[in-house]
Amino acid sequence: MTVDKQVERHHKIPGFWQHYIFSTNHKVIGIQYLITAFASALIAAGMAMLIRLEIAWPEHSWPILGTLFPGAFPGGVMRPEVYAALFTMHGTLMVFFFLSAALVGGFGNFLIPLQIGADDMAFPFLNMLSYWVYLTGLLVMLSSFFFSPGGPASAGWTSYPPLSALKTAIAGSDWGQSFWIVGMAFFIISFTMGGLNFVTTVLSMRTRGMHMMRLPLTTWALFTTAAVGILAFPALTAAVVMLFLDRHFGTSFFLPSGLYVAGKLLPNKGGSPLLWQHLFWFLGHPEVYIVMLPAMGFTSDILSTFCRKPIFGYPAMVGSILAIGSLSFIVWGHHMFVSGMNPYLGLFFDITTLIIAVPSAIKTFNWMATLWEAKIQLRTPMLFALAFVSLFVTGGLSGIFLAMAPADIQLHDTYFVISHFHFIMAGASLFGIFAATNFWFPKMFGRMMNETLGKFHFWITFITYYCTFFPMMFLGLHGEMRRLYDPVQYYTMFKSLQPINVFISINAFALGAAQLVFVFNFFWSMLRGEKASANPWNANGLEWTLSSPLPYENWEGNSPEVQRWPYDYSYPGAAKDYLPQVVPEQAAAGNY
Amino acid sequence: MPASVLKSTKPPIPIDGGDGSSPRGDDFYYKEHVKWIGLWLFLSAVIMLFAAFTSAVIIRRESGDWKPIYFPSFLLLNTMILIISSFTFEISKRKLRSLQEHGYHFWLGITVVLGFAFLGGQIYVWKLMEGQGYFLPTNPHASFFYLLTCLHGLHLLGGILWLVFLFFGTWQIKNFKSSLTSARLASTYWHFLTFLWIYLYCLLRIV
Amino acid sequence: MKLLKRPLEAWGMFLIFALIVVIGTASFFIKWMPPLASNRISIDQMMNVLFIITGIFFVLVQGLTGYFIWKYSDQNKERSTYIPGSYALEVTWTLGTAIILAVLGIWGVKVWKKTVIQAPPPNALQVEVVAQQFSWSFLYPGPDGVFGKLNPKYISFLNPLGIDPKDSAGKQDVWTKDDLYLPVGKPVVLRIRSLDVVHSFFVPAFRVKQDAVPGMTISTWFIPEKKGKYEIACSQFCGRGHYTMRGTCFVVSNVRFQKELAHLRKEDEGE
Repeated sequence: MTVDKQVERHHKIPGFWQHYIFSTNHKVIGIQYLITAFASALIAAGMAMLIRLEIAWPEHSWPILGTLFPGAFPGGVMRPEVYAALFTMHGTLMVFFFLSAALVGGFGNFLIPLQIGADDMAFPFLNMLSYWVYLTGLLVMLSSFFFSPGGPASAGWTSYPPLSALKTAIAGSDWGQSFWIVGMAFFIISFTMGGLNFVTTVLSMRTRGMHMMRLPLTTWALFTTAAVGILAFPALTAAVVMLFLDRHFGTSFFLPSGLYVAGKLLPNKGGSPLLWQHLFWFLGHPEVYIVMLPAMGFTSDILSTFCRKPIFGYPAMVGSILAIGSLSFIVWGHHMFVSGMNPYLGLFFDITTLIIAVPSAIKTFNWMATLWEAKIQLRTPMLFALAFVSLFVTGGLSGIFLAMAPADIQLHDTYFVISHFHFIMAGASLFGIFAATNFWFPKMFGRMMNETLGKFHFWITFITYYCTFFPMMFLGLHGEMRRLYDPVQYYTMFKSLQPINVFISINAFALGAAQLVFVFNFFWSMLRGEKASANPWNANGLEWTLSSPLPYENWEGNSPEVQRWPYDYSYPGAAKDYLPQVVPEQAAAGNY
Repeated sequence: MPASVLKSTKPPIPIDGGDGSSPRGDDFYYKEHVKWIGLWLFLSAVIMLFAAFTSAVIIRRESGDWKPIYFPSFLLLNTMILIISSFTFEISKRKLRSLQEHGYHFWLGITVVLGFAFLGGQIYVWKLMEGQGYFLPTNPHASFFYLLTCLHGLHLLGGILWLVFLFFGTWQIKNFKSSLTSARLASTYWHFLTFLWIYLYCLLRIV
Repeated sequence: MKLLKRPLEAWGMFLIFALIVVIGTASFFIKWMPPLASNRISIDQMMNVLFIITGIFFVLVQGLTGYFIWKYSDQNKERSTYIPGSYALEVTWTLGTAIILAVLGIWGVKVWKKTVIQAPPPNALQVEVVAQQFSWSFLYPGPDGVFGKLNPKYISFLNPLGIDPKDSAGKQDVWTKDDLYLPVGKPVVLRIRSLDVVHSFFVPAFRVKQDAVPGMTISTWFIPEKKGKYEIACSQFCGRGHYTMRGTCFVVSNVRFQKELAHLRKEDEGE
């Protein structure tokens, strides 16, 4: 690099406000997204702790909580409305504002331009807007705890009407549900802006030689995710608009005739509560894959890197990402087997859901085959990626039960479902995020995450994760329902299971506490971590050809020419066990 | 110069840089390419939004107690206004292509006026409907009518703002190609909204 | 000695995966589902087969992954083997899973048809189940076997279901709150509805669950086959008192059932 260029580059970096706050730079936006998402995850995890406290020791008085939150815990005992608000906001924050935002907004923004050899996104301004709209949505959502009469939304993250539409049905439907609708509207707008950007960027900004079939699987997954998001979120937009009208303008989109609530007959006529469920799950199921697919992509890349071996069956991996992405639009009805929809539709969704298990199985087998005959390096990102595979398998196999409509009669709305999606959707994605954070941290901050702390965090998290969520399957098989404020006061059939709930809660607290290690590690390593070299993991992707931390404008217009796919690890005849994507064929034996 | 410029704007948007990669850099075609992809992705999101509403209308209509309402015939006139505005936009684009600045601005202005006329007309239709006793919550058909016209109107308002932006945008011979691209993008959106309105009109009218 | 040339992490992962396999599999030998008390044995049979098939995959995949992690973290090895894929292997496991899932799918369809789609026998007892925040009401038709009309506008303290007083068919209908009486061995059709929000009628021992959706009447049928007392749960979150919305189902002999109904009718007339 010549001196002139350095000077020029120096001038390009804007001042503090434009650099760190209102930045249009994809890396800064990605980190903003990631940190905001982690913050909302911590809040939502705190809620989960309170939920577990209540389930394990129902209606027990905790004087400390009574002093801290006298309104929510009168006399130290949680009110049932508060419990409902907690599980609603836990779900909403985790699914949308943490997982989707961290995976797509965070890593999507950070990685896509780097992995395709672009200097920034196609629409940088839209990208900045996307983050600020997301933050607004999050703040609206959180402000319902403080400013909403009746507390935050309490009808569950699925917000089924009429419960969510009638102010008299539950306290949280007074104003909280409107906050929820507005917060979600902001989130949808932000996600659509981001999705537009990602798809356009991948389609039009790949560097020379970067064929679609040379993209790392991470980018493939993020690309598919963004496309799925653009097409699926409008259904929720439509649904929340109608719910809003039902709540405030007296329409009857979701409210049938003859509703008799709180001693009053309502004037509504002829709406359909099932319509909401169809629209919600038309988004809701693709949403599951929106958070699953990126984590699958990270895992593929990380497994390959630390196995020092190409990912097994790359075309099949790409094909299964696309298959999962497109099939995700025709499986939503498996959330509604016992909802009262036409039972023949149940048959259709039964079959489509089993079909979507095939590409998922292909991915699992390919990951296993990637391990085969490898020389594995068990660094922190790799440990998380391997745990991802384990969680994915456990969650996926329990998913077979839920895909079968007759089994769903017993298991729907029980802890079996909670266990299933905390393994596959929440847990696997969470481990994907941990793996990716550890893996790409040097690119973000120019320092390595602490390996000792990372591994400590990993072991505790992996063990307690299984201990927390696996026993829930037993509760579910026995029939214990989700969302019970007190499972034993009224139901005698769950009394014998209460020790399992106590065991789960204790593990959940350990799991929650272990995350503080991660938070500490994240910020400590950001400031004090060991300085990272450009390519600390000896990986092949384009992002590793740049310095750590990254230059402000990536390649500054001189993007490299890609010569090969990103998985040439242990290439026969090459001098080193990795061949970055920029190494030409003839140079492989000599330089590498 | 005009002849060569015209020729160069004709070829279709390149999909591929010839070596499997995408076109990129500060190339004009690359920028145009990006804008077109962005626009069509946005339109696909809008299509999905209205598809969701369509399924809602159909499900609601099947549920027995659907009582159709009848729209004032003024609505048909209003529909014609929107269709005409699409044609005036085409004329303005043609003027732009033959480098007639005044004609371009004139017909673009007409389009904007027609757009506002359509919006005003929609509000007038709402007043007429309210006069007939159909308010938003009166009847499911009326709810859908108000909801869908309102959402379409909001999208159209966005379109009008875009046109106003085009109208006041500086028009220079050296920016000719990018002016034409902007006009093409805006006209695609505008025609999309016209078709969307015709579709919604049929959806709400056929009972 | 070569064995020990593995990092500690490899042993740790191997241990955890082994525990997952052993404890995970062993724990499913406990019968977690409450003993079946209805005719829906086909669901249990299907679940048992699912346990076996998913169990095999669970052991295989988790076990192999754990083993691979341990085996291939051998640091004596010079380099990984370059294997970008194998057409034969990939086709095998794709087809393999597809076939197993197809068989499961067909089976699921059969069981679903048998439990949900199949029409109830004509002699079945009809019971109207009305859910509301936060209680269950059960309405039995009079000796004519016909339900009177229900209309929410007649709801009052004494008539919480809104039985239409003008409908003669409803004169002899009787209702109970939170207690459902069913005769053993007789098919029963539950006509489930809701007055306010979405609830869900769930009796784990019967393998019966059906959402109660306002504005809809959804039927489900089964045969209670064991006498006893079973708890009815609301499994769809329905508001503040969701956890209190418990009913009780008494499966009794036919004679006792008729006695209960007669008793209820008498009480009704007494008012």
